[in-house]
Amino acid sequence: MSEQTTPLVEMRGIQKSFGTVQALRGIDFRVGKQEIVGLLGDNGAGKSTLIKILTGVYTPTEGQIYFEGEPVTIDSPHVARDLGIETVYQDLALVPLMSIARNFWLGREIVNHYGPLRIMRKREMSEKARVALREIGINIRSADEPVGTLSGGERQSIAIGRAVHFGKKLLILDEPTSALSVKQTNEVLNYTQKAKDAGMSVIFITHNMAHVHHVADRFTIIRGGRKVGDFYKHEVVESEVAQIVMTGIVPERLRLAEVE
Amino acid sequence: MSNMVSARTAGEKPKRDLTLASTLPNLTPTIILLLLVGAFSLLISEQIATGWIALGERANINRREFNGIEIAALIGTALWGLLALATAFSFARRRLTTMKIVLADRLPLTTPGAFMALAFMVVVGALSLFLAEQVATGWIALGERVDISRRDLNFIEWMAIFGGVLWGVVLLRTALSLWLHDQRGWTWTQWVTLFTAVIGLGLTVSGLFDTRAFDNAPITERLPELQLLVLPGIMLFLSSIALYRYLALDADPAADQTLRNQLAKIPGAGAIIGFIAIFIFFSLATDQFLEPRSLAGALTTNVTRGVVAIGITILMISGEFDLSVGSQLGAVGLMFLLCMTEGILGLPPMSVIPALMVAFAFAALLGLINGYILIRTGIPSFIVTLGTLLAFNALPLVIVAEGRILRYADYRLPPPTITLSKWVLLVGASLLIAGTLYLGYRVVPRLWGALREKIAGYRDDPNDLRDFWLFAAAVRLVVTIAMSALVVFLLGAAVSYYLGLEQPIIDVDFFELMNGQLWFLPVDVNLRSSVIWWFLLVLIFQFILTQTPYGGYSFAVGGNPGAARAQGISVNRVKVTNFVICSLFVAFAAIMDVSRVQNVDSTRGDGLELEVIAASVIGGTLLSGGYGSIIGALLGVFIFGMLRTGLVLIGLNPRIFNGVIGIIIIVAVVINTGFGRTRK
Repeated sequence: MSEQTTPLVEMRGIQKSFGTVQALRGIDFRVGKQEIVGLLGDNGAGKSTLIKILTGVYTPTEGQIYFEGEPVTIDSPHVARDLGIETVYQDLALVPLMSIARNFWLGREIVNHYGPLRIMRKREMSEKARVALREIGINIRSADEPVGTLSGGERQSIAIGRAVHFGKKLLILDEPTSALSVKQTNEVLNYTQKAKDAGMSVIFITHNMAHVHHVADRFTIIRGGRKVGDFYKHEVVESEVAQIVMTGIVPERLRLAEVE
Repeated sequence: MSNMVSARTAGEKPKRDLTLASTLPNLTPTIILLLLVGAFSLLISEQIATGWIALGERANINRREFNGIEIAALIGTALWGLLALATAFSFARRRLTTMKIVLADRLPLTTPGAFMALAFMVVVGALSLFLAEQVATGWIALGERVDISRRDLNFIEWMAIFGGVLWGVVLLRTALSLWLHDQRGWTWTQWVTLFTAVIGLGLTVSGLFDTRAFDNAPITERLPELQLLVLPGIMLFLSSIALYRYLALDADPAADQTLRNQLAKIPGAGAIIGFIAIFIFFSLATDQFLEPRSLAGALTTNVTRGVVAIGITILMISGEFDLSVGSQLGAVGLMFLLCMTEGILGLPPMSVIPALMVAFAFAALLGLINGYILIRTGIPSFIVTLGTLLAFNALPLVIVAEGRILRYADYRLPPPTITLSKWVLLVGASLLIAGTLYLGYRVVPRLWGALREKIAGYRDDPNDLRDFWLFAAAVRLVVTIAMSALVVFLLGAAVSYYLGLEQPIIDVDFFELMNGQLWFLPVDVNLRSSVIWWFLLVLIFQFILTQTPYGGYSFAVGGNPGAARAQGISVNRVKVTNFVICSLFVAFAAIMDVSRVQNVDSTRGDGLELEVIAASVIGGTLLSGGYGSIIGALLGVFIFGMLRTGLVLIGLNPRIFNGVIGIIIIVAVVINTGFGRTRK
């Protein structure tokens, strides 16, 4: 379905070298609108490098990025942020010692202006954060609790809820479930689905097939800096994907689909 | 695997129906404490009965006859001992219901444990009120009473009355909420009990440390006076610890019910507890501590530390710290004094306002150097500022030769003055008055609304500390109105005074402005205007830290730089800004320091860095960043000041100070880490 319309993000021929080491050897990667893409690959396959190029942490050696059809140069995290790309890192999403509300509004506080002085409307911030999170289905007792008291799954959920609330276009989840229990993982997957329903596109990076198979629409598998293939969920079964991730060999049956 | 199993067992909620508690945690320590209370109480009763402990006025009655106070004490201690023993036996037979269940299921308060808690609140509350009344009517004399008549109460007595009444009311209010089976009273009771334990400990230790103990009088003569502090102290301490252990049974640590969870929400909880404990201890241990002049002295001599501690706290919250503040203090103070006396860079000596500008600009430059090196090289701030500690110190060392002191008085200059036209002053003061009134107009209705809301919602307020928050809301309103009125009054008074003067030009002595004796206080109370500046800065920056986005960014940058960066906050800019802010505070401190002593030597500020970092850490600020408060740092500095003054007053060798501070730092960090674990 996403093939007819312009994809949200398209990366073409991305290469990246660190000195003599070639981390990415020409990767094409795209994410359609309202599509959840599972980006799979073993450790060292180049997933993180690819994502860091998309979020402006690294600049590519070769290749071009298109955002909503327009060629863009993402040379700093600020550019990515202004485009509407939000990354939820596993540890780097929230500040544990600050309250949920303060984290939610971090960098976009609701303030009263008194000349140059800006004073936060704290009560309004907690109330709105609580309501906004409830709308996405995240129920919290009070938005004034420090984030540190929450479980890993709840933290991820709040980070996702924040991205949804602020109308981001692309959500990148970097290994969101690797440290979570089964129940918490399901919660995070559930909110990922909700983010999609709210109109966002999602890139879900993981090396754990089982976690992503429920929610992803499509899988992109990379290995050794090259793309092994793109597969729609209805084309493959879970075990096949796991096999491809591990060996890098695409079964005969799927070769045609891969070529597009 | 085994990890998971144990985690699950720990996470399981205790069963709700523990009327006959067979699966309660270990009760043995509680039982032992109760037995001790019982034995001790009966022992005191016996001692009174046999005449070894004498109470009240005994001048003309013989040993075999008892006065009213003694009979009351005799019966009271005996009953209390029996109650404690009875409770201990019920506990030993596992016949108890936890307070949580008693309150939730509206069980009668006569169950073992619950009854003792209720009785404790009533008895101690009534005693507290009784003692306050005795002080107020002059039957109990405190402090120096040599030459004042009975009707005039001194400062110490006023404090004692205030404390006694407050404490009595709090305890009786607690008893009332237990009586009404108020769920919210449960946590509150734990607070009150633990606080009573602190008071008991204070009484005991201070009785042992009583100043008179250092006189040469034989111990037999001091015994009665010691008994009056030590015995009730031990009783209070043991009873309240035992009761606290009982009350905290069955608490669900996840659901906000323990004291620790409540305390964890307040930054610097350790500092508050420490401050209160040390304050109570010194107040009881020596008559001279609670004198206005001692307290004023403790404040005035710590202004430099206090002001620098504000800056270092902000910096530490954003995850860095600055060892070079001591050297900066010397260098900036020197720069300021040089500007006014000899002039710098070939310029002629300047008047005070340009000198101030140079001093602040110089300090900002030093802060920029620190911050810039840090973000450019990525070297930890410990190393960077260790380097600049030595480098910045070179300046005073080179300019002021070893042993020499640069004195303002040596230059035979007139005192530095700020010259103003009457009209400038008038306009400035009017603007300030208008500003204060405007702020009051904006803030007071909001505070009034908050108070009304608290009163209206009092019945349904789920908060365990609703009394406290109601009180706090009232205090906030009253203090805001009072402060605004005071500012307007002082400004108005100043304006009318200066307008009444003949000459159109007004000279303000700068040294007096920064560090003058406050005119409305008696001469022996050494409270300087610098203390007012210090408190003003604390209030302003606590406000900035908690209420403005920038304050939040400082916390975020210290707590999780990656998350801050991901939300578009420039981590480096925040850090460099905070280095500059810290240095500007150092400049402010240096200027006040110069105003006080009017000289600079090459060792000025040595060792300051560790003292202010210590004060900050005692105040609950994490060395790793992301957490802390300026009020906490203020309390940390208070603790420093109280110890310096108090240790001398109780007759200990003042050189013990560093040893005591060392222990307190470690204890404070241990306590704060304990709370922190709950928080994280």
